[in-house]
Amino acid sequence: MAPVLPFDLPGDNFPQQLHPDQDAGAVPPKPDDELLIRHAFQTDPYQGCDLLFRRYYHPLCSQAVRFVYDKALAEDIVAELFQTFWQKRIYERIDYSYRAYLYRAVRQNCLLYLQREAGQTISTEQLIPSDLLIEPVSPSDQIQFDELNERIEGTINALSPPVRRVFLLSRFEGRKNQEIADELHISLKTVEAHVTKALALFRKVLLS
Amino acid sequence: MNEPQAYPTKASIFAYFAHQATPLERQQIESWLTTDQGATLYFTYLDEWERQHPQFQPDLNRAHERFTQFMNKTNQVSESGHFNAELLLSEPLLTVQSKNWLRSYGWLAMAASIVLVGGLWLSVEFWYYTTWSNGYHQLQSIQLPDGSAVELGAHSSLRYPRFGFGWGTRHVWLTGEAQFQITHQANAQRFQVHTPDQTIIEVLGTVFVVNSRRNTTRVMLKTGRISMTTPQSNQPLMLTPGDLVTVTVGQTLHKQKADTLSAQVTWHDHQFVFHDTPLQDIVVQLHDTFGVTVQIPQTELMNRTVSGTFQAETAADLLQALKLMMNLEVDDSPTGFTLTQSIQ
Repeated sequence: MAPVLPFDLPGDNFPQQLHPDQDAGAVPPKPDDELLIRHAFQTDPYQGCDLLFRRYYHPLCSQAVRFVYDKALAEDIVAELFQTFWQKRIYERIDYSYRAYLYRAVRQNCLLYLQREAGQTISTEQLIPSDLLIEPVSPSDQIQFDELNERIEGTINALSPPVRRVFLLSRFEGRKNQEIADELHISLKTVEAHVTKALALFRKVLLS
Repeated sequence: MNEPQAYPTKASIFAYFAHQATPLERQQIESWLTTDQGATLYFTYLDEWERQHPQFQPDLNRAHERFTQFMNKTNQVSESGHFNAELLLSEPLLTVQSKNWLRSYGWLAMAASIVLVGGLWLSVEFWYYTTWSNGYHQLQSIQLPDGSAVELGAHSSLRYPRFGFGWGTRHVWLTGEAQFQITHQANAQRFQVHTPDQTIIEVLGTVFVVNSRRNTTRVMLKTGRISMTTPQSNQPLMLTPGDLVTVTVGQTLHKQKADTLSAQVTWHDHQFVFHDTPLQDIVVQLHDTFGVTVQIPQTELMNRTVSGTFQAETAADLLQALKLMMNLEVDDSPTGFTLTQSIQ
């Protein structure tokens, strides 16, 4: 029987207290725009997961594809994230923001995927993103992700236009080399060479 | 830095996401991220920016359907016992190999093999069965290993054993709608269709259509002879050509002659045939075939009937035809279509 503590009461001016001297440009959104989803999780986790999925599936896929540059893979990563979210009842342990968790976890899983693709060994503690739950956010993390993303984009932009075109068709669209050759009216050999070249460069980004 | 923080504006954060921020803006954002407000708002802005700049358009309906299927399945697994729940919790997110990991945590290998065996058991559906699935708008002709032909309808899936199909009774599992054309085997081998509501349709050589959605199974026999068993019936029901049987959960079988009900059997040519079909039934068919939601606010309109043959590859095609024929207003919104009677 826990007594009701006076400081348990939600303070009306809580958001203002937190950041007293903020710039007019960065007005925070409504205190909790995830309130509805949070309520849904309390009464029916199934409903909550359903709402989260519908709400964040699209933007999370878009975020993931910026890292992996593969449509199907991005969708798989996001779908798998939601499956784990449901299966391991991660929602029970989130008390800050579902959105922040989902974006961080998607980024983390994309990175893991890319590292594995580049043939790097991954330590055990990196494997389970449960640390995402314990410490709220380490600021430098997200900056590193943004920088990685910038490097990936830079690398792809630096490809010569024909190589880039083949690379995107092959990796992003997941098309077969023969299909690309037929569509662009170039030889299968050229397609293969372009894809190899682009993939090698793409992997190098991760090692830098 | 002890001086008061200057928070970056939303515009500069968006510029940062687009890799167009100046070094000064970057620095501002980096220190902003160390504040509680920045750490939370960062993701709010990232989400907003991502919605404004989508990189591609994934199929939400399909992904969502898979996800709800997954939730329904795993919910049942964790309810069936504590052991299973533990098993799922110890499964790593992504299976990544690492030599180091194996050497220094040998005992983990044991746990991993338990997970593997459990995983195999849980994924038995995947490796033991061959599954064909159709999304909305999709139709597919499937040839089974025994030579039987199946026309699988939109938003439906068919599953049969990967190994040993055709030894003994041939079993297939259907969700949704399909037409079966069963080859007769010399040894009079049986063929059984199972549906999610536990109805079993047993066949010799024949052609028939099964539609099993929302806990209701409809079977229409074109030629040949089939028998049906359901959880409710004790003895099998025999069907003769032209029979249409409807099975609803908790209710008895309903059998009628299907001579005027060819509506159910022409979908595989993208054709819809209606004979005095109420608009509300058409709405249900539209949902099953194309996955669209159609709302009819007026009750009297719901009961209006339609007759005729329509060629339609999309829901919009069919609605357009109905609109012209019945003088309706079709309202297309992101959540679905709304049909109303237009005012003269």
